[in-house]
Amino acid sequence: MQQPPISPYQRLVEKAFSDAIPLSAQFELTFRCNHLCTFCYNAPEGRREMTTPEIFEALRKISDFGVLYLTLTGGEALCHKDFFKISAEARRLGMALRIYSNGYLLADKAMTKKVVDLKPMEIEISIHGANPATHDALTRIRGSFEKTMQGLRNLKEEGMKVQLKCPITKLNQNELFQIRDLADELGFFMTFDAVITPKDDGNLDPLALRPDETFLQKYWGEWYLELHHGKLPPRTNHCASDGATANCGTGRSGFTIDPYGNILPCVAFRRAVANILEINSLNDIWGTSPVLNEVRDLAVAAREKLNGLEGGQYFQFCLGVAEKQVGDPLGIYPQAEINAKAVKRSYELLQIGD
Amino acid sequence: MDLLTPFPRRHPDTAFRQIGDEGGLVVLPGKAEVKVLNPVGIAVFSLLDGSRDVEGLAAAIAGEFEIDLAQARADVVAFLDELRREGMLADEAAPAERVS
Repeated sequence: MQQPPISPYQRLVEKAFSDAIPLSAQFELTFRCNHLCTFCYNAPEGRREMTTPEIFEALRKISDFGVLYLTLTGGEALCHKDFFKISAEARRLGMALRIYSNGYLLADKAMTKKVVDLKPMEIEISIHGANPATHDALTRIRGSFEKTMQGLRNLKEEGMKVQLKCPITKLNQNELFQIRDLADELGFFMTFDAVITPKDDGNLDPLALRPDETFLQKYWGEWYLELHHGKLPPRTNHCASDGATANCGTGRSGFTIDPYGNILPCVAFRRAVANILEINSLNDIWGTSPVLNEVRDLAVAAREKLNGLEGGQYFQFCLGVAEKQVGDPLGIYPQAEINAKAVKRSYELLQIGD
Repeated sequence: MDLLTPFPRRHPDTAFRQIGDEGGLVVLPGKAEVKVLNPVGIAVFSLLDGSRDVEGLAAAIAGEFEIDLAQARADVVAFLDELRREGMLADEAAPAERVS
């Protein structure tokens, strides 16, 4: 089959990917959060988080390094007492902002207005159910569904571009269409995540909420296209294009900063590279860090391994999840295998070839 | 090119980055839109700090890319028009931008 022509944007993004030029960074401002989600992957160590002047220093280094897209997250990013100062500084430094939030504090219209005034590219809000019973059971905060929904309505009123995200769990797996309908009513884009990950410290408790295999077969097969208005299931990780030599962009197309200042290859593969407050410039470590070089090699090795498996091209594979779940970043973990089989089956039913 | 904008300046809400020698990306935050620029485009865009007029921009580009000054001037004017149409230049009516 003839490949569609590559767009100039895609060409630049692929150039950045192949040359390991990071266009994006994810900054976890704080682990503080106003929700208590049982499946949350954060594992705070109880240490002192960076101060606001230290965060400013980190932002300057990230900007000097050439990062274009900065995602502010947490914890709950809006719970940081200086969120607006920090966001304004990131904008002043010339970076485009994405904000990840649970939307709870955006129920306050004044707060929403302040966020919108930052002119973020996009805001991503997590939603966990189509009704208060499910959503609040997962966030463990009574009233959180109504607050988040009010926040979403406020964002809509302000004309903000919003993406809704829903991690699929046993508790909400049967109301995905209703959740999608909520997004449609608001005119927001909706994504579902079928992988629940272990906690960052390796604790596997969140996996108890994983959706079951029967559901996943239905999700990837009969439901996916309908839920996503005709869009096909993805066959690669979102951070790598078809045909890329590396499985994903870990340590390559972006990186993550945690609230202590640790530089990590990505949000999922949390091997500390260095502390951003202890280096003069990210240029000093990006090309020479043994951790980053190993992670990039592992991402290439993962792609090669998957290419050698039957149906390997259908895998959305995460090295960080593999390491935490089966103790080997190249180990095939059950969720990846189940999802890949289901996606392959879906493509076969649709008679779409490789 | 509008003669009322002698010293064009990029919109303060834009974020831009050069990617190797291939060109660069410009984001206009709030619109969630990305514009791809070729190497000449990203060079011009990086110079739009309000300190250069069209002649200054053309001279810088002609020197950097070893092209004829008249051609550089025509390219700069066309590019600035394109940026203005897409809202990527600072408000032309703002008095601060009129200072030479």
